[in-house]
Amino acid sequence: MGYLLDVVWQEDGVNETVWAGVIFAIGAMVTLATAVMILNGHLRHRRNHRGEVS
Amino acid sequence: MTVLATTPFLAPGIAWFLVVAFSVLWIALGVAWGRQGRGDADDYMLAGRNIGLSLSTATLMASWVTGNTTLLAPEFGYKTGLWGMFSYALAGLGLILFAPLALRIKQLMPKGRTSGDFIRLRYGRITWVIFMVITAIYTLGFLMTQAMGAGILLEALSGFDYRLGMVVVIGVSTIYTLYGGMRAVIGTDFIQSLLIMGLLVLVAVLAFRQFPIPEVHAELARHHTDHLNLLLPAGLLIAWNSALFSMGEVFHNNIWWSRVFASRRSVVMPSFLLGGLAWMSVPLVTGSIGLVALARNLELTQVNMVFPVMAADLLGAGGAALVFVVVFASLTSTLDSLLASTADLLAEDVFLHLLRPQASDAQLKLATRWIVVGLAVATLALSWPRLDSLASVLFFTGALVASTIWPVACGLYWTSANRHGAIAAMVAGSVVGLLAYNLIAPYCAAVFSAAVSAAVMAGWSIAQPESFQWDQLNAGAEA
Repeated sequence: MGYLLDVVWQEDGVNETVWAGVIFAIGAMVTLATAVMILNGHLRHRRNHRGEVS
Repeated sequence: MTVLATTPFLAPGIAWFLVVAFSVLWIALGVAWGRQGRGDADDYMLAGRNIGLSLSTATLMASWVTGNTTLLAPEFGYKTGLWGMFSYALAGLGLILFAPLALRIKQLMPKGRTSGDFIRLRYGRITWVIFMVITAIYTLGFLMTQAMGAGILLEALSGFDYRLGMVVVIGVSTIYTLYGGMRAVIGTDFIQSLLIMGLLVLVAVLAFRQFPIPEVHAELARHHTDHLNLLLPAGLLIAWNSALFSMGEVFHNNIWWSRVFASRRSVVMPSFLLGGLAWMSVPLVTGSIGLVALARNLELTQVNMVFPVMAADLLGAGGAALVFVVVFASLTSTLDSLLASTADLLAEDVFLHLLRPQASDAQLKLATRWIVVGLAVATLALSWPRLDSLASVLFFTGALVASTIWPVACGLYWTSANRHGAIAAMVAGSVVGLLAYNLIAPYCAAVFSAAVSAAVMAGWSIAQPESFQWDQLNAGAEA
């Protein structure tokens, strides 16, 4: 574990699982936002290309 | 506690026979496939742009299965339990979420050749330079970890000298890629993916017939409850990092873009979806083998050898030979893709567009071949001194590649995606990712890099929207 996490745990007494959960939540949010952006773009452009022959 | 010896698994004579047999097979097939097609540079780089669903899916899956997938995933399962294997499997999201983007790329740039083409045409030359630096560092790191992995794994499995194993795997991959180009890479990947999947299924079926899942679960619940804990901090930290790291790898790297350009438009999206799902089954299967080893109370002298130990234990000497074949196929299928697609990128983006815009088709093809050889030699030279911390090299590159996710995806869907925003997103994401790598943990690098990059890219494009004309991409790619 890195220096920053060591400091946070020592000074604030933050539980290891809580801190890992915060990073897990950030990762989940970014992944979800990326997936939503891609699906939104895909559906929007699929409607625009509906008439094309692939 | 049962202690199993781990080195070497396979008698050197059998190992040499397998290496020679499969090397001759790959090279013969590569040379034969290389003689097909039109024989021009575009055909050499993209295999005629007419790859169907089964070949496309197989090459995606085989290229994404590295030596790590077969040996590191069981180690994750053995050491960290359920979250370890689930986290590793999340790396399949990179291929799955790239599926819609692949279709979009095919629509916008049917004549395109590389990911660098897209970045240059969409965001301009400065963004292209930053993108090429990121992809160069990542590709070099990836090539080195595969080369070193080849040396280390063949040494552990069969007692080969580290450097000999490395030279054999790189040499074989280079020779058939050199002669057959992308056609050889895709053809051999198809056979290699069948070998990998078939042998993994065999080992998994035997393992769970001998040790049924309820017994494994009961044993883990009795002695290793933490391995069934879905709130394990280490597992939580790794989880989304795997997903975002893999998205960064797939979205930016020319390995995957070259597969898009090489495949028929009707198959690009399903092949990435199927390839990603097929790939996810590999770490789940091999990771569960790690859990079986733990439930059986096997103590290992080298923990990354869980899978070979279990295979040898279940199938005897034949099991060790099968694992050797799986690892050899995994390594060559990844290295050939890296060599071919990186050579395409450098030949198209640097040789043709930067150094020799007037080069003929034959000169472009020759340059691509020389770059394949140059990359192989450079990889051997850089990997000659053995490093033991391969994972840290890879996680370091995660900080860089995750910063490209949003610039690439927004650039394909948003006319408003801003070129200055793309530069700022890649730079800010990389810097924050590297800080997270050093100050928090290597496992967090990709998460923080992607988060900052996404915020910068979206914010900048909303604040200062561009109005990009999509037809510039196709016109530029055809020029």
